[in-house]
Amino acid sequence: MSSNMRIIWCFILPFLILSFLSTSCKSDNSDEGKSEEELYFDDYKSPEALWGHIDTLGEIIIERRYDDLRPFNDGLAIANSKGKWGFISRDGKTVIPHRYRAAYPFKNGLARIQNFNKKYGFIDMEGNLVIPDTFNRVFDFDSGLARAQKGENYGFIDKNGNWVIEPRFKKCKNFENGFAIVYQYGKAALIDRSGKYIIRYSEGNDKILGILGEQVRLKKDSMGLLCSASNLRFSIINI
Amino acid sequence: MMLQLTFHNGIAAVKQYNSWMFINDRYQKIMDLDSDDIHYANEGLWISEKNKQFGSN
Repeated sequence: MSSNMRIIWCFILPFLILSFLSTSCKSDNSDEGKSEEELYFDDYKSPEALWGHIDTLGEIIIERRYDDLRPFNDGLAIANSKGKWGFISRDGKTVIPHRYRAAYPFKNGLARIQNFNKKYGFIDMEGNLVIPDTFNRVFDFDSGLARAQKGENYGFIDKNGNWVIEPRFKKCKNFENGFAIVYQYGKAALIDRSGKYIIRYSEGNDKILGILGEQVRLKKDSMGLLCSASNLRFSIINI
Repeated sequence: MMLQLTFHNGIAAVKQYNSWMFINDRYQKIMDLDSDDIHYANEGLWISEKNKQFGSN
């Protein structure tokens, strides 16, 4: 290579590298400043085939115009329009606008929703956000309490969205007859509605199998036990 | 190839040769359905899918 060519390349090569880097940085930053919702819809495409409801006579009850659709429950169906979930009535009217990333059926007047911030909350039948969308995950209310996740852990909230039992469990089940099975450190325990431990984390191969009425089925040293949660009396059972 | 969904109130949806139909509990055809896919919903309704490119509804 001649010395002239070397000099030319010394000027051109850095210019080419800088141009390349500048282009790649621009494309990497193209999502910068976009909301979660905008990012979601960057990748969203409505399907060619759309969903509606028909009756047993084959008559169209709800026009086939939804990206996705769920069954009616208490007169409302969850419907996805252009990527957003809302609630429609049996006459096809939008009752709660299509604005959620995910929505679930109403239970006792409240429905779980996920907003485009990926957080979950609850709405009432008018579509008001009655429990703010601040949870990583929520479950339906059962006996006045709902399991909710904040950070890594689960706890229980009331219908005002307040923690009744702070999130301190890796996993938990719904309350049954005043008691719930919770999991921490890979072991199960039993708590009451105030969060007080009734049975501490079971040891070794011991297991809490389930709740039966107000009694708890346990396995201890390969033996089945039935424990009354109110007086902690044990009896042997077959498992 | 036939696919049959569960009976609800004496009616089931059946897919045969890529066409859906309703049948009664004596396995007689009630009617052909203008649907590409179908699921039972509840409250006497079925959820029906139709590709807009190939159909009127």
